[in-house]
Amino acid sequence: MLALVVLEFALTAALAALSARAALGLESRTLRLLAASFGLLALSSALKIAWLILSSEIALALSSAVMAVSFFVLAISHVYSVSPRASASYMLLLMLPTPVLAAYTLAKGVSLYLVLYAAVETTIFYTENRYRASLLTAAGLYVLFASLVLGFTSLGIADLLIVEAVQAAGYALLLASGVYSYRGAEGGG
Amino acid sequence: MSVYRSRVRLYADVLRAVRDGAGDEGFARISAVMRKANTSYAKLSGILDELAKSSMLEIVESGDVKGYRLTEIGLKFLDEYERLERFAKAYGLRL
Repeated sequence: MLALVVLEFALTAALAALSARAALGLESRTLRLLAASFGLLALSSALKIAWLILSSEIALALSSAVMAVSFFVLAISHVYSVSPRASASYMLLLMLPTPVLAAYTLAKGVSLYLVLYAAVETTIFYTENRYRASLLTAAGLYVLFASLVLGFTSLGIADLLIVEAVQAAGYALLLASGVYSYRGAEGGG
Repeated sequence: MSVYRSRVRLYADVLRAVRDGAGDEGFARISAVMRKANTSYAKLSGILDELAKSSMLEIVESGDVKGYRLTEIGLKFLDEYERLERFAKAYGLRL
């Protein structure tokens, strides 16, 4: 379990470093929001490590809250970056009732809708631009969405392992997309 | 639907138009730049002046014809911008 969470941290930290480098390269609100989002995702993973090592429930709740904020920033970057269109109404999904069992569950619930919104926006972007790397990102976000759904149904330690493994796979896809595009691949097609 | 262009994107679009609009003479005429950058003449003149002042473009005059050519600095800026543009696009975003 710890190994999986450390892997998640390594992936999100690499993602954060890559996006921070991009944000420093150009004065752009879009890149700043992206870097902030991935930085928060790395912080969320670090808090999860603290939860496992220190057995601190507060760290786990904080990790989920930071993850929700991270996905919120990602969703906001889509709203700012692309001219407002009908898809912005997906944000209304946030108004749907989320399980209010605990702060942890609430944060997870909010993350669920936000990551779905970002995934749908990225899919629409792909269909409009046919930029292959964005399809990789959309796939990563759908995998993260799946991990959050699984998180709600997990009961035992084996389920938790599956959730973390799926989440790590989602982060790996997001990182692959960034590296693929940053290294100069055109990504069109 | 019209899409908002940030200032930096507008500058990059003009640099790209100069690069891609260069004809056999080795430079791009203002009419070609205007067409490719999809910008009005008044707006474009100001941007071209600013880019020339910051050494990203050089003004070329051949007889009666005036045009623009990218400098090494302009090329480097455009390369870096396009790399970051690809990065943003990978996440479904525009600069």
